[in-house]
Amino acid sequence: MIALGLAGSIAYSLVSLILGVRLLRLARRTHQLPELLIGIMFISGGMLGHTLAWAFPFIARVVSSPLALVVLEFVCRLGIAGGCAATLVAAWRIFRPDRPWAGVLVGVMVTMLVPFVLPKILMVGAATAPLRVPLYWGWSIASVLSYGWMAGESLNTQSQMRRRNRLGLGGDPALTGRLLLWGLGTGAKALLFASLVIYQILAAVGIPARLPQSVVVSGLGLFCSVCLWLAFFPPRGSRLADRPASAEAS
Amino acid sequence: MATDSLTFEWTSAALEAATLFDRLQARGTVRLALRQAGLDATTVTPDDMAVVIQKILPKELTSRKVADAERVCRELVLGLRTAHLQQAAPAGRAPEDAFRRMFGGAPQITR
Repeated sequence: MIALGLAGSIAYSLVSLILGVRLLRLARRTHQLPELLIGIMFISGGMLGHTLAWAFPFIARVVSSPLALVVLEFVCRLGIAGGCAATLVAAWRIFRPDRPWAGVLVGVMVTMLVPFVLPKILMVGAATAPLRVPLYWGWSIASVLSYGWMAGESLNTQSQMRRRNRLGLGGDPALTGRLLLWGLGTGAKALLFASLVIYQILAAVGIPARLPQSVVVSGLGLFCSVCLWLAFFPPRGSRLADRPASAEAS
Repeated sequence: MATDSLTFEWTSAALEAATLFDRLQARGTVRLALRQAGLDATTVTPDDMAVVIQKILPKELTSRKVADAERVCRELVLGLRTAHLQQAAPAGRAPEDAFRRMFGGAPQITR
């Protein structure tokens, strides 16, 4: 059960490392914001934050220094919050760069993520009942919304592309399919964050969960990893790997 | 804040003149047709608009009880082609360009 629970988490950590490095190298060449932000999302949120989150119980068994564990937890939380913040800014700058409400939303959400990094200082005595603390709901909403917004915008854009493809308006079916995978992958990540809140609620009200949390998190992590991997590295010869007609002609 | 394209403005005004629609109805109808085609009023080009007028607008006009919708649409396309409106910027679809770059494809020149 432990191995099953870890499979998805390990897969997401590895995918995040590979995609993050790839995108940050691309950003160094292109000097474009989207690849920089999505690269940070993978490295900070996936490779650093997510990995430390699932590895923390194992590390805690071998590291005896309380200070080291506090530092590790801080780095883990900083990574996750950084990943969410990068995702929020990316969703704004890629999909709604000229919408003032989007900038305001990002500002509010990033502010709501700050207490997540320093919970022991800002939420004294709340460790036993976090659901009663507004700050908990603030960062929970911000984390779900960060990936959820990215997923929603991506799926909306691919839906528009699909409609254009159908009318023959300069379509790119391969990109449309890859954007669908990207939307599903980031959507799974949003569900992963949402599942953490749902399990907290179930535990607080005393309802036993049918599936262990680790299995749900791992399943979503695995689904997310597969979708994101295929979006970036589609199988050769598949429709996802097709080059657009204009690229073939040029 | 993005403003609607010249193509959208021209088409809406021409539809208003060719039918009994008021300004709001004409703009709304064109906007709905664009949405069905996955296009946006701020970035639509004359070429894309011509396709929307030919393939989607007739049904929209018929459902709004416009008499001889096919003829109205033919005249709109003809007018659009002779109006010599400027094409929108070729790289007007920023999200797609960003993801094409990130996924590893070459930037595509949109029509």
